[in-house]
Amino acid sequence: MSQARTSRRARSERELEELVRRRRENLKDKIKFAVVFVAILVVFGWIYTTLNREATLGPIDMSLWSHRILVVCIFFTAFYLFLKFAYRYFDRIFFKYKTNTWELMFRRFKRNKAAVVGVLIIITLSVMAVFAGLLAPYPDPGNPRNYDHEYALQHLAEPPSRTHILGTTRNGKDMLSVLIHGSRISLALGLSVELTAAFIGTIVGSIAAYYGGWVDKVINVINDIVMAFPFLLFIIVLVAILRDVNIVFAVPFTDFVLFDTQSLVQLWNGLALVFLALAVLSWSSIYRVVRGQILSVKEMEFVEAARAVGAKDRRIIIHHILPNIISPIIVLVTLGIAGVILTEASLSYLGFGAQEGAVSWGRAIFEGRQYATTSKAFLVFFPGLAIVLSILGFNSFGDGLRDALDPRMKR
Amino acid sequence: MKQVNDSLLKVVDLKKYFSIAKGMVRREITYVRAVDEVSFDIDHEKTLGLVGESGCGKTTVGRTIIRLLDPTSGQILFSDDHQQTDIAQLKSRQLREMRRNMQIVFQDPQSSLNPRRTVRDTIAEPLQILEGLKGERLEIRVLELLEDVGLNPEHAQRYPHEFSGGQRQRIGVARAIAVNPKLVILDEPTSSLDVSVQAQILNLLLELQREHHMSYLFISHDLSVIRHMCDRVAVMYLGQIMEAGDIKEVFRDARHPYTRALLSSIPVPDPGKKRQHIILEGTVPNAINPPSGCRFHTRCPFAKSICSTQEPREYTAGQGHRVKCHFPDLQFD
Amino acid sequence: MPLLDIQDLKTYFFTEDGVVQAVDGVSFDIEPGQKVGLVGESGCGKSVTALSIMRLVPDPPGRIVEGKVLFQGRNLLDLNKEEMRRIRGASISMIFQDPMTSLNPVFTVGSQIDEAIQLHQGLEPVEAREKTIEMLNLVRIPNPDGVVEEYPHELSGGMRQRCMIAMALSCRPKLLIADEPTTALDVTIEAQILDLMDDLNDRLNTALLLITHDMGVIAEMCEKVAVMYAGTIVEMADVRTLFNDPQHPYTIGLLSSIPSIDIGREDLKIIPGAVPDLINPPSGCRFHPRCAFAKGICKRERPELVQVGNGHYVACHR
Repeated sequence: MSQARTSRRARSERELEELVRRRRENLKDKIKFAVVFVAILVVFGWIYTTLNREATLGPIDMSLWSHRILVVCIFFTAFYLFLKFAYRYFDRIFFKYKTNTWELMFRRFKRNKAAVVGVLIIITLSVMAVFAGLLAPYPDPGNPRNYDHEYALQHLAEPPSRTHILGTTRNGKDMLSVLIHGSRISLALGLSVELTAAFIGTIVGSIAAYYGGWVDKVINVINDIVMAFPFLLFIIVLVAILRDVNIVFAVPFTDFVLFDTQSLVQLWNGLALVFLALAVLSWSSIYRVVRGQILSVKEMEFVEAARAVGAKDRRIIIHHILPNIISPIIVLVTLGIAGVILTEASLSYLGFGAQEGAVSWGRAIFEGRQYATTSKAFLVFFPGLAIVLSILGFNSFGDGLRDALDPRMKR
Repeated sequence: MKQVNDSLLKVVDLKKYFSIAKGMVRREITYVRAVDEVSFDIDHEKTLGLVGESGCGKTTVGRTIIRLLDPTSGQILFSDDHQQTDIAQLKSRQLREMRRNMQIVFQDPQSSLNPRRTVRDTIAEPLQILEGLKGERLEIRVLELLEDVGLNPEHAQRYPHEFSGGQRQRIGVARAIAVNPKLVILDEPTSSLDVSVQAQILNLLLELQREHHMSYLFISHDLSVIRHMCDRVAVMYLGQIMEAGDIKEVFRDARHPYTRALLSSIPVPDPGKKRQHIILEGTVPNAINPPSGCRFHTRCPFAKSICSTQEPREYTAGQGHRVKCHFPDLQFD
Repeated sequence: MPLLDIQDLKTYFFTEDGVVQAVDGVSFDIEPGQKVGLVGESGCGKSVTALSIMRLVPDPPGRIVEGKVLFQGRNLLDLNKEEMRRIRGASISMIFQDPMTSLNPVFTVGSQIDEAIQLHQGLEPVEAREKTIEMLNLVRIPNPDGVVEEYPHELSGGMRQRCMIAMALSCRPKLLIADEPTTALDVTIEAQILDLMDDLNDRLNTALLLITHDMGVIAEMCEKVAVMYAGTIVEMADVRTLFNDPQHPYTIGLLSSIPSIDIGREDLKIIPGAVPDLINPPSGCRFHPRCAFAKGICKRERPELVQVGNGHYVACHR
C-alpha cells in the first residue's frame, strides 16, 4: 500500500503546489477586502463628525423630507450591496465554514422572530446615530449655536404637532431631534463601556484562570468587592463630592495643571464620569464568565496536545483558549449594552449623569420629570419609549445570539 | 561493536504521586500513588504495550514520560546517537528541543483537536514551533502529512467537526508524526472508535511505524489489540508493573495471577471456546492507600499470608520475562 | 408464542437537517427465557430499537412510524401511557450503559430500588426494603445493609451496574433489555457482571436482549444473534452458526477486523469506507457502497431477510 502512496504523492505534488498558490491568491483578496472595509469606515467617520455639526449639505436640501428619504435609501442600498459583496468574498477569502455552519447559525438566528426584530432595532439605532445630523428635522440640539432663543421661547413644551412631530421639550427644542441625537450618546456610551469592560474582564479573567493559585484568589477577592459595589450609589456619591471639591493634579513646583477633577465632571456634560464609573465597575460579570470558561477549556485535551507539541503559555491562551470562549463574551457584551443604556438613563433621571446641555434620553426624562403625571406627559413618554425599545432590541438580539451560538440547542 | 545502550527509552523507577490536601484547618497532605516505581525499556522501532484496567496508572505513565506531567522521582533516559538524556531533568528550552523526539496520540479524537482551528492549523502547529517551518514549505509538508495518514489534501481547510471519529484520529496521528519523532506514545488510540474503524487505524499505525522507523508505547486496556500491535508487554496494576516480557511468551505462559485473570476475562468471539474465567472478587482498591505487601493480594485467588506483609521482588522467569509475585512458578489450572 | 415479536419496526427522527431513518424495518423475536444479542457498530440503530420497544424514544424529534411490537401477544404500540408505564419495570426492564447517569445521584441506591418495588408491587416501605436487600444479595453485593444507604457516586462502576441490575430485576420481569451494560467497565469487572447476568437469567428464567458492539460478549452470552447495519438487520442466526458460517459480507468483514488474541502483527482485513449517513442512506442495500461483492441489483433493491439455513436469515442478494 505504501508503494501506491509514493506514486500518488509524486503525481499530486503538482496539486499541492496548486493548492498553495490558491491560498496565496486568497491572501490578495483578503487585502483588497480589508482596504475596502477601512475605506468605508473612514467615510462613515467623516460623515459622523462633520455632517453632524452642519445640518445642511450642498445641493441636497436637508430641510426637505423627500431629500432625507433619498439619503436614507442610498445608504441602505449601499449597505446591502456591501453585504452581498462581502458575503461572496467572505466565503472565498476566509475559505472557512464551507459547509453550512455559518449558515446554520444564521438560519437558527432568523427563526427567532424576537431576535430579528432586535437586530432591526439595533440597525435603526445605528443609522440614527451615524446620520443624526441628516435625519433630524432640526439641527443638533446639543450645539448651543443652534439654539434659537426666540423660537424656543415661543414653543416651550408643545404637544406633538405638524411642525414638531413629537412635540418640543421644556427648553423649546424639538423632541424628535433630541431623541435622534440622543441615540448617539446611548450607542457610544454603550459600546465604549462594554468594550472597555470586556477588555479588562477578559485580560484579568485569563490571568486568573490560567495561572491559578494565589493570583486567582487575590483577583477573585477584588472582583467580589467590585461586584458588591452599589453602582448608582457609588456614582452619586462620587459626583456629589466632585461637584463641590476640586482636586487638581499639577506638576510639582510649577503651575502646569495636568488634570483637575472639576473639568472631568463637566467633560461631555457629565457623561465622562458615567463612562468611567461604568467601565470600572462592569467588568466583573465578564470576568466571571471568562474565568469559568477558561477553567473548563484549560483542561481540555487539545490544550494538552498543544503543550505536547511545545506551545508556550502565551500561544496557548491566544490561539487555543480565547477562540473557544469568544461566543459567551459576545453575548454578554451585547446584553451589557442594554444595561448601560438603562443605567445611564437612571443616573441622568436622578440628576447625576448627563448634565445641563447634554443630549441624552435620560436627561430628557430628567428635564420632563415634573410633568410625568400631567397632560404634558409626552415629555417623559417619548424618551422613555426610546429607552424601552432600544433595551428590548439589544436584549432580544443577545438572547437570539446566545441561542444560535449554543451548539447544543435543538430547537 | 554492540551499543552500550540498546534501548531507545529506558525508564528507571519512575514515580508520580499526586498530592491532595485534605481538610481545611489542619491541611494534611495525602498522596495518590498513581505510578509507584515503574521501570521498563523500549527498543528502537519496537512497540511496548502497557496494559491495565482503569486506575492502574498507565495513562499517567504515558504523560509523565513526555513531561506533560512532571515526575515525582525516577529517570527517563532517552538514547539518541550515543547520547543519553534524562527527560525527567530537562528544563524548558531543552525540553522543547526534546519534544521533537517524542509525541503523543490521545484517546479521544473529539477533545484532542481544537474545534476552532482548521486541520491545517492543527497539523502545522508542531511544524511551526518545533521545526520553524514557514510559508510554502510548511503548507506542502502539511498536505504531505495528510496524505500519509490517508486523508485528502482538500481536507486541510476543514474543521474537526466535519469529520468522523476515525478521520479525526488520523488527524491526531498526522500531528504526532509531523516532526518525525523517534518515540510515539499511543494513549488508547482506538478505544473510542468502532471495531471496523479501529482496524483501519491500527493498520495505519503499523504501516507508519515501518516507514518512519518509530518506537511505540501502546497504552490500552484491550488485550487483543495489544496482542496485535506489540512486541513486548507490561501489565500494570495500581501503579506497579506486575509482569513484563515478550508478548508471545506472556500471553502463552502468564505467571502473574492478575495477568491470568485478565487473559481469561476477555470475551472471545468464538462461541465454541468456553473459557474458564478466573473471576476476581472485589474491586480495584484506592491508590491513596494501596494494600500492604503485594498490591494485588486483596483480590488474588492464590494469596498466602506472606502476600499481605511483604512486597514481592521481581523474579525473572525467562529471557526478559519479569514477574512481581511471591510465587512466580505457581501452576494454574 | 414468542415472548417478544417485533414486526417491521420503523423509527424515524425528524430533525432540522432531515429525517434520520434510524430503524428502518427491523423484525425479530425472542422466546421466553432466551438470550438474544443485537450487535452492530455505533449508529446502526440498536439502541433506538431497544428504546422503541420500551417506547422511550424522545418524542420530538423521534417517532415510531410503522410496525408492531408484540409482547405476549399485545401490541405495545397500541397501549396508552398508563398501561405502558405498568409494563415498564414490571414486565420489561432495561439497564443502560453508564450506571452513573442512570442512577439519580441525590438519592441513595436503596431508596431508588425501593421506589421501583413500591411502584409496581404496591408494597409498604418496610416490605419493599426487605425485598431490596434480597435483590442486592441476589446480585452478589457484599454487605447489602450498608450499601442501601450509599449514594451512587460512592460506589464503584461494577457495584453501580449491579444495583442497576437489582433495580431492573426487582419486579421479576419477563424480559431484560441490556444496552451495552459492560462497555464502560473494566475487563475483569465485565467478566463478573456477565457471569452474574448469565446466572440470573438461568435462575429467574428472564429473557435477555443484549445490545452491544462487542462480538466477544455476544459469543459468550447469547443463544441467538442479530447483526444490524444502518438501521436494518443484515443477518440473524444462532450464535454458533453466525460465527462459524457468516453469510453477509458485513458480518464477515466485522469478524475478520477484530484483532485476535492468538495471532498478531499482521494487517487486519478492513471494511473500506464509513458508516452511511442515515438521513440519506444508500439506495437499495445499505451496505452496497462498501461491499466487495456488490452487484447491480444491490444498488436498486433492498434485500429481504431470507432463510438460508435452520434459523439462519440473511438479507443479501447473493
